[in-house]
Amino acid sequence: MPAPTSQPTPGSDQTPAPNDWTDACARAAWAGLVRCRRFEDAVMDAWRAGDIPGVVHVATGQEATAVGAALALAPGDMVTSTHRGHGHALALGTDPTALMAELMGRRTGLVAGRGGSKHLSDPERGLLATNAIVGASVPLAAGAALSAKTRQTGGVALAFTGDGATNQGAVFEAMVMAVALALPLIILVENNGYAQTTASAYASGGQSLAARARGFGLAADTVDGSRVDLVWSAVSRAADRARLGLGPSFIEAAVGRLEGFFSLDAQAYRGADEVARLRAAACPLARFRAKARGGLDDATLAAIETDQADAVDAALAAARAAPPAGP
Amino acid sequence: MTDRTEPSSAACSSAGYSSLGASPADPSAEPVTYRAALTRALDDAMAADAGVVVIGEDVAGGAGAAAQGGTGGAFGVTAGLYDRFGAERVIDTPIAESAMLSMAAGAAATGLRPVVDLMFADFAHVAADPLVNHIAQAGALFGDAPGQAGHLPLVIRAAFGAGDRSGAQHSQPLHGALLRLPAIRLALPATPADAYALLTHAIACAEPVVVLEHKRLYDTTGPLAGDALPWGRARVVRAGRDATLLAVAGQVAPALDAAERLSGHGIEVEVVDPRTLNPLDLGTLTASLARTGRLAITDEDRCAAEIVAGRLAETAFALLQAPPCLICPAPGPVPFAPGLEDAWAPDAPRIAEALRRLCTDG
Repeated sequence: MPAPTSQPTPGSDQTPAPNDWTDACARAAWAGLVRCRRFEDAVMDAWRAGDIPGVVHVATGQEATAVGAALALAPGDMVTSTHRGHGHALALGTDPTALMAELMGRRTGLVAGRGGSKHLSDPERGLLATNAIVGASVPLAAGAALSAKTRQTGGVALAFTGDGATNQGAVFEAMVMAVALALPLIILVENNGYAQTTASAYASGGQSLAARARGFGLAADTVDGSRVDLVWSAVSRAADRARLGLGPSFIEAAVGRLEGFFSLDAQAYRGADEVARLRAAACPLARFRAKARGGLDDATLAAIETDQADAVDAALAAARAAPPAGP
Repeated sequence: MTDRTEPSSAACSSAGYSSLGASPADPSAEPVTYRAALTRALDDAMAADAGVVVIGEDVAGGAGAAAQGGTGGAFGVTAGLYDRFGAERVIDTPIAESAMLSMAAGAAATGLRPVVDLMFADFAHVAADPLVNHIAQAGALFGDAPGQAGHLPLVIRAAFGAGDRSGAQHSQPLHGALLRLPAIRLALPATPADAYALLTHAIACAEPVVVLEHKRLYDTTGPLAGDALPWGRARVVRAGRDATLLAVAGQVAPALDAAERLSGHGIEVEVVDPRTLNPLDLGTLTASLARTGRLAITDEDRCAAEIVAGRLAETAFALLQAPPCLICPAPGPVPFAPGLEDAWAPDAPRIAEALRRLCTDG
């Protein structure tokens, strides 16, 4: 494959689903996608209603990277994540009630209300920690990869990170380390086009992030991150490489951020039609229906969607009823 | 080493400062926000000196996007500066704090006067190497004789503090960590007038200055031109005879509140805002201790309180009738949940109770 020279566009890949994308994969993926979407919509509603203190960074539009990666990982693999980590946690199987309770600062929260939206941890589900220092998820995952390699667990570590983070020195250093030590590490960059309000293309001089990683010696690829099946396939390949001792991989996934950087973002820097365009072209749910549903009919998808909506609604009610965390 | 007991540092009365000092603050008593006072200080300094540049993530906002300049930093402090001074002087950067600070140091050594917006003070630790090994050691690296490049006219602004449910990595104080770096001047304004005066001075200063802005203060209001004090001079915010209570930035308001509560119970607390912790105005502080005989410090940064208490014990031990009383958070990360976070930072009732004990048991 020739080295990419520019950053990929979400919603651009029209290839059919991979041959090994089974209906069982599709069923699990759809459940994950609609759960993440419903959850983030509920988070925004709850935040507007004043039920969530502070600010939140939702991952609406970035469901396919979370779900596709989680489907490709195995028990015992470890994941690190970013300030935009609700979907990563849900995709790994974190209890939505505990997650919502954490966001609301409840005693029953995932980390007892001490962390909040940006600081989630659920190691039993493979989520080492989310992180509010941009880029920090990558060297931490390198540490989890070193641990897996040294202890010979057969596990891999995956770092979710963003386009903005790829400009941090710590991320470059982690790539150097991962290549030198042949770590079983996967760096999954969710390139949503913006570091807060600054365009990814400005910060990188328009260069492909995957090409940069290739320069460090990682196996690097780009993927249309609106396609859960393609993300699954790319992460599966990277995980296979890592488990075979072939070293680290870097995946640049193009995604569309359908909400602001955070819940207070007025998004004056974006063109008025940009979000509408992304919703039409790069919504992971629509893309799933068009490309990755396999043999699942509309009734099956609707039933799964209802189940997931019920689960999120129940989580919301239970979190609201839980006692606040206090001294 | 420079004598930090000297309230007006020689380095900070440079020609640059004098020329900027000629640009007077708005004499209007119209209240402005703390945020607007900072913006005004930047605006005035940039208008007066073409070498002043603002550097940081989203200080203009929207670089490379459909519309640029509409953000003005995470807290809106640099809003409007892009429209006035353009992208050459309001410089949006990639997220790369370490390179940002090193670059600013190199620029400061070669003719610019950069004002770096670090956004959250927590991010200073991402840039620990330039801060600790380069900016704080510049005199040794580039020479500190007059005219040598080791004098870095560099300002670093950062927001800190608990209370806005930002969690462990967006709330930490920084000043305790910086107090072990004598080359770095440190200002913590508590009012709009001090925000304007201290940032103006910081930009004019020939040496590196860190200005720490408590997040809770951005929307507070006051006159832009207050009762001006020189750089490095502490302000006696409230007079009292029974104890001296030191507080900076976000702790000044709860300290005053606590003092008012105690006043009804026959305890008169003198509240003193040092305004700068480096230099530390030992003269004003010692004079206060000579009146009261008791020292209390409330600070979100226990390390800072310990260092200040230690310096006062060094110089004014004989004046103290009781050990210094530090009213600070318990060790550990700043928690997220409102109930936990509100219990973390010392509030007026907790400060008042600690002072009541200091003044009655002591």
